[in-house]
Amino acid sequence: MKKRYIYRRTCLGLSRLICAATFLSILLLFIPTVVSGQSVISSMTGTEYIVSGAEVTIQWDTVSNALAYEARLLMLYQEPVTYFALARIPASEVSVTFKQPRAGHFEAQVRTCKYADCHIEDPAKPEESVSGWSVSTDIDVATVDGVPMAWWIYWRLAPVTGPVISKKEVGDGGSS
Amino acid sequence: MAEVVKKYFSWIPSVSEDVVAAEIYVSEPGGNVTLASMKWRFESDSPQFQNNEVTIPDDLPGFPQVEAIYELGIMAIDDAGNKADMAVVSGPFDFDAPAPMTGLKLSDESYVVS
Repeated sequence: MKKRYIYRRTCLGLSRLICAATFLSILLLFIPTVVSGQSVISSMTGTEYIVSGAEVTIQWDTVSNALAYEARLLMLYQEPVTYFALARIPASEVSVTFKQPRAGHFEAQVRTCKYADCHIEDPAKPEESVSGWSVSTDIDVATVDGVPMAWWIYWRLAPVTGPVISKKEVGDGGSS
Repeated sequence: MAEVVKKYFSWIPSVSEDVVAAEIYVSEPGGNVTLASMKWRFESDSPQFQNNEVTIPDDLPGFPQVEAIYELGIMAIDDAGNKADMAVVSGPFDFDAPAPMTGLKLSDESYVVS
């Protein structure tokens, strides 16, 4: 079960609107495996997937001239900027499954590569060999159930378990 | 010398690798624990965190002294400030030893040794 929360959108994600400049046709979808509960997050409008399970799968639309894709997770509200789980996906596939990198809020990002290795450091390859990152908090490229909507993932921190109360008689030397 | 029965609150730690602290909450007498309840925090370098156990009331200064059933909750916190679901247990607490007996005396007749 997933929960949808609508919040006031402010700055988060706006700086990333420039992403997908080259390949705007990428649409991010999301297939959570275990989603439940609720959490509070401010300053964004969209769907928060609260995940207790270990894996989630994201999907995107095919890009016609792609030879590969790259996908990664950006941890929100974390300084310095931290990315997790960079994955390179062949053009024949349009989804990737991420294992839980750690607890926290994450935005999914995907970009298209015109080279199978997505290598852009090679000076022989133009910078345009990769697209900008399409991000899941950008309503222009992200969808939820087919509807344009920002989304992000909240991986729960594993709880403490098995709390017990036990007793043992000890002289305290003064209580009365 | 009076004696009180101290209690021990113990738990199984979170399996997450990024946990840096634990917060322990106590409810009002007979109530349910909430995030607004009285709480204590133990960092990862504290013996309580490392031993997964606190002694009550020694390690929880200000713990209620009213005899009642209290609910205790514990929550793991990671380095990014994420908080796990709270694990909860309840039990009776009474740290007030009974008043000492008074009026002790010897009966003159019963204990005369001839």
